[in-house]
Amino acid sequence: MGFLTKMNLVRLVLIALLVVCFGDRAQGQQFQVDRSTIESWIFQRQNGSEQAKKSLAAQIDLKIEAIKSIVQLSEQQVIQLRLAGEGDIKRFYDAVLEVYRKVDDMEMNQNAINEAYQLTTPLQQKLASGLFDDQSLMHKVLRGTLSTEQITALETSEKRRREQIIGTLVRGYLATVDQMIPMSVKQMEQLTEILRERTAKDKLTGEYGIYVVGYRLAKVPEDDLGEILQPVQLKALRQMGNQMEGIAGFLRQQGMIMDEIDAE
Amino acid sequence: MVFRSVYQRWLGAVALLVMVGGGACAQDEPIVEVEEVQVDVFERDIMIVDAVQNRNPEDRKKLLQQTLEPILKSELYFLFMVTDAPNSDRKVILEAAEKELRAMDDMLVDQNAVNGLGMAFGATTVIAQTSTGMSLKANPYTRIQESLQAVAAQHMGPEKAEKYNSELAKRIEFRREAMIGMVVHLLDQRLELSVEQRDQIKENLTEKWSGWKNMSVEGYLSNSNYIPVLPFPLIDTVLNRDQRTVWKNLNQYHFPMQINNDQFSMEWGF
Repeated sequence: MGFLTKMNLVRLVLIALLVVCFGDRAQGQQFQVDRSTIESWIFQRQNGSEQAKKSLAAQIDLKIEAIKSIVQLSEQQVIQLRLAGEGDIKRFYDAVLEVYRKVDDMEMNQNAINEAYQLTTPLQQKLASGLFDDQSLMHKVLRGTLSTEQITALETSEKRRREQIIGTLVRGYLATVDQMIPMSVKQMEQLTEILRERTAKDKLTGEYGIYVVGYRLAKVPEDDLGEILQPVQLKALRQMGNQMEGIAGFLRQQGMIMDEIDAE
Repeated sequence: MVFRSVYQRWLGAVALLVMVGGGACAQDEPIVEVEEVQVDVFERDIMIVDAVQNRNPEDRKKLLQQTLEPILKSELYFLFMVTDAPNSDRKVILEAAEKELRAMDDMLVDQNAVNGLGMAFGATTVIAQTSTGMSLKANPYTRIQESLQAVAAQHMGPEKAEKYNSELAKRIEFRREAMIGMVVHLLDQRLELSVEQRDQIKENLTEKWSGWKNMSVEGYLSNSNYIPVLPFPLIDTVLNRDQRTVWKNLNQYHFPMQINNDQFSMEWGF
């Protein structure tokens, strides 16, 4: 069963559960989804809104320290970056409040519960992929306040870090595939090279990065794989890869995969 | 594996929804109805779990064999591939491997220990969980590989046995590097490590940490508050003050490996 199929399945379960819970009220009373329910949907992996806020604030300090380990920052630059990071957090929590308001205004019924859940999904995904990404205020302020030399140093470091991440995720993914479809290390090293190339332009940050690797492996042309794997391994890999098809739409929606490679 | 994590994640999501929904309707709605919905969706799995818990030891043993057989067959394929074993030898090796498989029920964790106080007091460590509802106290992949090493030594001659041992050792080393790399990546995502810190932590873990052997990364990738159980000094001494504050608030937890081979009925040619 594919990723999206399961996602839809769980959404159906969600609706079913809520209907079971609130079903009797529907007959004589009203459905209810309060703010605490919305909060639990958005912050389910962060132990609640307050804990998430603390973690995000701590992340600002960590990011600034990480930048300082690469380039020297003036006190003014640190202040600007911190303010920008806080702006990102505020922007996120404003969006949370907006969802609260929209849900408050909804007349609750089965469809509205589904709609309310849909409203929380982008916020859950934003938390999962990281608040301080290329689109963040912090990133923009960083680019605006640094000198050309500082930007060059930072970009060199980011490039190295990105290469490390790609290598780590590719090898991590292949090590898990190896448990189902055992491969020689020579085969895994050859696949690593192909996947490094094919994921070079993808966004691999956040918790979905490893799925991008899985998707890319599933899309490697048969001829290329045939030069590395035995026919039986190839068949098994294709069988496994079929299950990754469903995830493509989700990864594309998240801006994590670049379609040009598929079009080659 | 990664796919299993998707499955596991959604099971977790259902559990969460059961909690949320259960809380929401706690006053006047019997929770049992919520559980019925869960059974509708994961009917097979829930029924299997129920069946396993009520099964006699002999049935559990058979179910374990069925569950582990796909792993055994895939590893056998690798053994045949790297040793170029002739068809005439394969039948004997297959029989010997199946005999080994029948003796693997000692990995089973007593279900009473899982359900009862044994787990709470750490008397039983669950290394792996199967989709058929069983808990294992050993890594089944490692166990199968070790069994096949013995089978190869007994039935294939020293040269071919050594070939398998050598290729397997390389795979294990690949896995070790990959898992330690993933741990550093998980820490990096949460702590914004510098290049030097990443290198130092990797070096520390490579030298002094064996937890990678039974590690399953999927649970951590989808639960940002959790990291694997790591020796404190190997990490703490490398971090700066701000990182240490975050590190101390992370939950260290061992997610058991998920064994769910029935998702793929792969053909290995024997």
